[in-house]
Amino acid sequence: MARDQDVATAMGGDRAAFERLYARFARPVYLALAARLGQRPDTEDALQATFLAAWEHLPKLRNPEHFAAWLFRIARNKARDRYRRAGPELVLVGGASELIARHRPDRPEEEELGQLMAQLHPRTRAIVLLRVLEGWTAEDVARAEGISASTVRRRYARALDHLRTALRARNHEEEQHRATH
Amino acid sequence: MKKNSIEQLIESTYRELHPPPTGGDELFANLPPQRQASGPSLRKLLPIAALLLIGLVIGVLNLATFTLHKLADDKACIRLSVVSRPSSGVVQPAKDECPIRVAASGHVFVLQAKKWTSVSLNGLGEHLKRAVASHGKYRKTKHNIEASELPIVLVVDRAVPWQYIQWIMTICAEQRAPELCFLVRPPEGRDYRLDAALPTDIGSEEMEVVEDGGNPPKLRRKPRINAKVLVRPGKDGIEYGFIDRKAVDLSVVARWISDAKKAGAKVGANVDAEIKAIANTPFAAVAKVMAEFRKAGYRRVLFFGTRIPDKKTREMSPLAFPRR
Repeated sequence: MARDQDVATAMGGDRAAFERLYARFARPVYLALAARLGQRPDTEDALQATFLAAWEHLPKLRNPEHFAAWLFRIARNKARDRYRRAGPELVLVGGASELIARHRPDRPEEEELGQLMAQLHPRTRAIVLLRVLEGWTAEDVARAEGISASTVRRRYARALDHLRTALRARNHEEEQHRATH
Repeated sequence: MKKNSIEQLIESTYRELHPPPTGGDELFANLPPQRQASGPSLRKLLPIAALLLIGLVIGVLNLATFTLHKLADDKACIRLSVVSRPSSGVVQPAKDECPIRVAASGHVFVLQAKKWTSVSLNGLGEHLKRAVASHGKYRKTKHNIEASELPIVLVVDRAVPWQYIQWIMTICAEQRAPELCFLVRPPEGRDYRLDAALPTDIGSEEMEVVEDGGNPPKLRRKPRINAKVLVRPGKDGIEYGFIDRKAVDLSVVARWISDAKKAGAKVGANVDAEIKAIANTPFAAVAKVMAEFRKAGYRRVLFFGTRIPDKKTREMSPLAFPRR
């Protein structure tokens, strides 16, 4: 498989192969970090740190097939380190982090979605972003996050249900508010 | 697979918010050497096991020292102040100060019997141990650790890599001497001092009372904004700061950190100034950014310390980046 070949070649110090791996995995890793860290500078720092560590320690990877899971584990550790160092005040201004929610008065449903996403568990957020934006299957996400595929499916389904219900409830409240005023 | 309406909403919301990450060029321009895999052998494991046992015993006996060391590894904090000096003179430490000079070659010099002597990091540790004991004045920090009041002054050549300075600060923290001062002599303009304090002096979190309509007022942590600048050496020796992963020159850094301070004041948030520097960034670049923070009115700048990687690094003189 091309992916395993790139991993095996990069393990031997081939930078071009590692660049191909970066092109393939940078965005999914970025999404997984953004779901946990929320701020662009922190997320991009952690992304760089993840790939630097991956490059340095790649020769020690025993099985190239486990590259994705290994890479995401490094990313989760970098996010955890970053979170521990910065403390709980990870630049939350206005109650939600910049990569999860943003102010869109012209698109109120996006703004509401953002606020609801900010309430999800970071791992659940990562699952949702990877499945929707990257089109990953439950098995792909499970390998990356180090959990079972059934857990991924369950959390994903519950998250979407929660978002759907909460958005409907908010819309209903707004309609009632307009009707009475 | 066809997406349902909630998935479509998620996609439209986040597709723009999460563009493909940039920064790949920067990453690949500076890839370090890979660490080679080596399996453990029994011959290698036995001394390691013995060292671990000794380390465990020493760790238990030196818990307070470890705490201070760990704090130093996480963060250090620089208080910025200015003492004007004539620009024509060479900045000299005062008589009661403990000077450490760091040359661009990586040599670390301390004053022993009125002579400058080159030392390794271990040698610096021994020197500071004696200086702390001889100074004899201590204070209790907010973490209830006894910290020496020995005033240490770092006179650093402009070209010294930032990594070396971080190691020296770690050695100071190990000897429970958290008060540091940089003497900085820029090529033009006034000499100035930058006071540094290791994390024993980081202030506590601020709380504020928030009115909640008719309900009882709530207590919450004051919001914080992080003003972070990443410093690294640029191409052709030109120094850059990086904000939002874009290389910018110093005037942009100055404007940005000043705007961050004003934004903090507007929303009533504390603004944490943070400087990160790549290991091989020359001290001059970091000092320039520190100076910009000072001009913008910040009283404190945070930066992250680093562990000294191994015993070899502690014993080397002059200092050098560890080979892997």
